[in-house]
Amino acid sequence: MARKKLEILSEQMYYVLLSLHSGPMHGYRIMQYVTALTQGRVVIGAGTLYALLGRFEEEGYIRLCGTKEGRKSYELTSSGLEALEHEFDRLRRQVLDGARLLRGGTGHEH
Amino acid sequence: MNTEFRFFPYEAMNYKAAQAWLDRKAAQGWGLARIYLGCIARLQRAEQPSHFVDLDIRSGFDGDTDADCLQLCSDAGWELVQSLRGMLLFRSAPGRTPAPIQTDGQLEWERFWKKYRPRIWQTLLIALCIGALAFVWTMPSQRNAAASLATNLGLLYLLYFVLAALYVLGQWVYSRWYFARCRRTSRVEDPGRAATVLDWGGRLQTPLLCMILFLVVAEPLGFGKTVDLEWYSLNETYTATVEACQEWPVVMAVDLDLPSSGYSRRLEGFGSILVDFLEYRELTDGGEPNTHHILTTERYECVSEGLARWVLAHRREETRNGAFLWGELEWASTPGLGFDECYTCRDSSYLLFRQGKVVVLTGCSGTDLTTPQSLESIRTRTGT
Repeated sequence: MARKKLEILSEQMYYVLLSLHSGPMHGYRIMQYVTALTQGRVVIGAGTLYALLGRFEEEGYIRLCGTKEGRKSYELTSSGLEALEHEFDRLRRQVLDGARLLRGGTGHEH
Repeated sequence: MNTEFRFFPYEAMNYKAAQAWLDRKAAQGWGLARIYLGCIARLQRAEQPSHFVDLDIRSGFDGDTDADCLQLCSDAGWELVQSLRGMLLFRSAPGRTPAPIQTDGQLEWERFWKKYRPRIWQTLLIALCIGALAFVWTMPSQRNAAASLATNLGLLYLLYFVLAALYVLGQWVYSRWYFARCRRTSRVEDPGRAATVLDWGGRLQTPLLCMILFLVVAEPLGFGKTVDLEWYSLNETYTATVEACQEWPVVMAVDLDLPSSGYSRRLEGFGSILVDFLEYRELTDGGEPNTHHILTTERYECVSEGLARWVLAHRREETRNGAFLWGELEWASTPGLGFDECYTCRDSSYLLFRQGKVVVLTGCSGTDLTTPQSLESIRTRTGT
């Protein structure tokens, strides 16, 4: 039942890492960034983000880079970037496969 | 009215039920202000209030709730009202409509499952312990269990025991059902009415425990006693008088024409809503120098015949196993003495009988209580 150890990122995980790709941010800034980036389609709750940040830090995908007025800022690590790239490729392949089948393609994969 | 008070019984395991209740209150325009005594919610009128109930994973043995998490919630527009029994109760900040604190159902479920998975076995273990205790309690033993029904403390213990057993058993059945339901959807679901009923039961145990604690202190100080002529001394100036004891329905030496020693007379009584209990003891002269016998009377006036039957059966077994001051009593059924049920032992010097709702155990070594004269006297004095 438990989610596999971050082999596949959920949508919210993906957007958290993606937001940190643009530079270090504190938690609330990440929430705002994701909402703006997805035009409100993806909303991350404070508790969910807190859990995700803890999990990413544990996995070594992000690290703490500063604390200001009680707010911790995080930055993406190289393994975090690798996980993000991996997820991006996976999603891209899914979209390409879908495009081939749904938009008149052959259905064969390269 | 801008303020109202409501009962808030919810346990952390049923935090979704608490959430559903607060959502209903918010829809009526009520915002949570505070929880008092762990279960009384003060609600206040508010403009479009919203609430979020979250699990307080860091509370308990691990220490305080993580400040970073609270900071993040605060930035997002949630004010922490209170941390209560492993729950964090949030209310939206004025003028803000924040997103829910948990937006990943599966992540939330994983966290919940990790925390409450051991609950199934814990409750089963407690249920088994309670079952074992109940089994031991119902076994005839070295004590007078029937007399403990005659004290409010004893009754409260019993009530608490029964409620706790039902509660734990209910928790076990409920948690299995609830976890299975959540597992099917991989989400923490609203448990609905069953959880509320169980949590009510859990909260009601607290005042019961308080009453028990009160009685634990009060009963030794004399609370609940109906009669207390307990002075028994080798000096007849201080012993309970014959006249004082005769006002109560107990068999005394004078009733059986036994020579009283004149001292060491003792009468104690206490009562509950189920049983009124009297216990009388008196030292009698044995006929030879420095020989004494002790006359004993126990009288139980029960609220029903069914209970009186149980008291008689239980007392018979207990005394057979030695729960009597003067040793084990091997009772033999003795019908025909005019009582509903009757047993005698030790050459009829001890008599245990039930007449209607009254059970009496009386006796004195070396005295035949089955003579017509003694029986008549016992009947008259015990009101049977």
